[in-house]
Amino acid sequence: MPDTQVRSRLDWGDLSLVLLFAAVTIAYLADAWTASGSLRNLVLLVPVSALSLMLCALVVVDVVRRARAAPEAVSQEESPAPVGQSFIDRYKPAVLMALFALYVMTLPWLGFDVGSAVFVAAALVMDGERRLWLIAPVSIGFALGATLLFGWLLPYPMPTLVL
Amino acid sequence: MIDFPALADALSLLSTSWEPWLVVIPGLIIGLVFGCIPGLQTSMAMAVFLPATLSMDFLTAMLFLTSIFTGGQFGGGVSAILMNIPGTSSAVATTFDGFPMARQGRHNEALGVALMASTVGTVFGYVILLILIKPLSTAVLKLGPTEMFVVILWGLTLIATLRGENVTRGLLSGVMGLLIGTIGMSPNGVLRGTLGSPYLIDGVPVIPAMIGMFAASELFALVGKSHLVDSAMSTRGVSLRKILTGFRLALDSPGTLIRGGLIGTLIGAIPGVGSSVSNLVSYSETKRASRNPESFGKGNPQGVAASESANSSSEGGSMVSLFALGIPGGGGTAVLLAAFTMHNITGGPRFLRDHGDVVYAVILANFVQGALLLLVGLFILQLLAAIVKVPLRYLIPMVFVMAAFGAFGLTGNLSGPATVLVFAILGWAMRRYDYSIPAAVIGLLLGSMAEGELLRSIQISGGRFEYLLGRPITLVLLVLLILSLWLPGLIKKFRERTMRAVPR
Repeated sequence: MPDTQVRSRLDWGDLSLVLLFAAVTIAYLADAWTASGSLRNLVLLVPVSALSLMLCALVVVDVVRRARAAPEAVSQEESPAPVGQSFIDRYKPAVLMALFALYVMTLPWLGFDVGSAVFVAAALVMDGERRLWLIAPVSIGFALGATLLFGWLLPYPMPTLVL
Repeated sequence: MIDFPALADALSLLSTSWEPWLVVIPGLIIGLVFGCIPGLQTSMAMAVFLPATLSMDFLTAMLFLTSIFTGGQFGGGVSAILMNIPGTSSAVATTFDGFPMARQGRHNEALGVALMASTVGTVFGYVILLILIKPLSTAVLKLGPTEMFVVILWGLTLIATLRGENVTRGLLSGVMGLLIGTIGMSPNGVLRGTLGSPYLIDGVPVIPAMIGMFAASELFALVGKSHLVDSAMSTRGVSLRKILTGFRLALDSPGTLIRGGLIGTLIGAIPGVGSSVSNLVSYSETKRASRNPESFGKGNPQGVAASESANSSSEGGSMVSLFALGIPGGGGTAVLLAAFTMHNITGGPRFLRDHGDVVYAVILANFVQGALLLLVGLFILQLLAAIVKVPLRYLIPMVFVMAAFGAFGLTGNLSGPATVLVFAILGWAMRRYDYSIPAAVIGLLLGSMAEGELLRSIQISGGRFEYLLGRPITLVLLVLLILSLWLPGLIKKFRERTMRAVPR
């Protein structure tokens, strides 16, 4: 199979993840080595890192092997995305990740009360719920209940905007 | 066999205050709800509710978490019977006969059989734990740091290789977990991998990371999915009288319950295998021993009893490695070990020696939990039958919010929710590409322990490799570790054979 065809069938997400693991391993080992090159500091890290890099190499080989073995029928050209699906429908997990990231990052300003209500409402809308009479009480009610419950359970104050 | 003075102390510990008991019923209900909703796992419920145990004492926290564990093991069977979708991986074999029973209009009897078998299984597993924990721990106390280090590696190898299809990726997950678990201040006082962040000096916050990987990452994968509910099935009601008939059906085949209990406890004790395999083994053995094997897969109550008694007794089995070695065998026990850490308790044989009363109290309380499961399950089955129909779109953001609150509660600052976010995204990517989440989490939990045991081994041996040759148990464990790399292939073959044998 020509290299260009193998490249087009490579699962780049899979490859990126294993390369991330390899990069984290190397960076961590280098940092630990810089901190102290003593046997006591590196006795576990060196063999485990070596094993990690070996396993990463095996996974890379596996990813390439899968790309080579992929049948013609599954090539991107022959399996177009379903017609009529919106961007949100096609990338729901990624959109939810972005919403959750926004929720976490805005907690210092919106607080747990407002932030949670906005996040629940946005996630419901993203997942296809359009009935406002359901979205509003569910999101506000849940955020209120959770904020009050954890406010009562935790020994230190939580960031909140209204409560 | 049993440490009777500790047992007596345990009884007084449980009877002097009613406070620890207050959390049992809520725990069972949480477990039942999470277990019965396809996609939500018992370990997810335990991880999300772990921060709620911050204000509890250790015994109460253990009672709460083991109640969720117990409830979840049965909850998985509810959707398996009503919808033909196992709520958890431990209820796969329950669908084989549970759903055919439901199709024949005998869903109440099937639920009754499952509930009674789960109760008997839970109690059975803990009875065996009660008998074995003392001798096992006495034996384990004789293990030195070298043996403990190899046990950690062996346990991690089993979890990494037996949970998924891909051994290489499973091992890589465990290894990455182990590496991340050593970030922060090392046992000999060197600061590593913190990227200059003061939040990482004590290492990656393990529990928020666990919540992210177990709970939140799974939710990303579930978004946009809906389960196909058999419309005729979803409108059927729950009848108390017929459920009681199911109880009798289960008790009519004590051999099946005992076999399931034994298989579940034994398999549950093996790290990485647990209830997801034990229900299939028990089902297959019950079918093989039956005089009427062709009735299996067509609505035989014994099939439901075999599966449910095995998956519930696995809980007791999985506690063996947790209490005896301080090493979790799967997701549920990993959360329990995290609860140990949260309450500044180190698991393992020394814990049993010093706090035998608490361990026995947890075991005894689980007998009561088993009985309460029967009552609570009976009265909320109607609710569970309704909950399985609630669209996941409502539950997903709520569990996320709970995870964020819980993580904040654990760290006291926003590094907790941020850790959940990072590990949720990482966990989602790992799931997507067939890496093992339990292996990564358990590696994370055991990383610093493994390093500590290895350092102690080097101190004792003076760094001489020949020292290993004088440690026969270490050598045997090393051989077992290498042999266990062949196990995934054997289990895969067994699984395929069982699935093929069931007429669908």
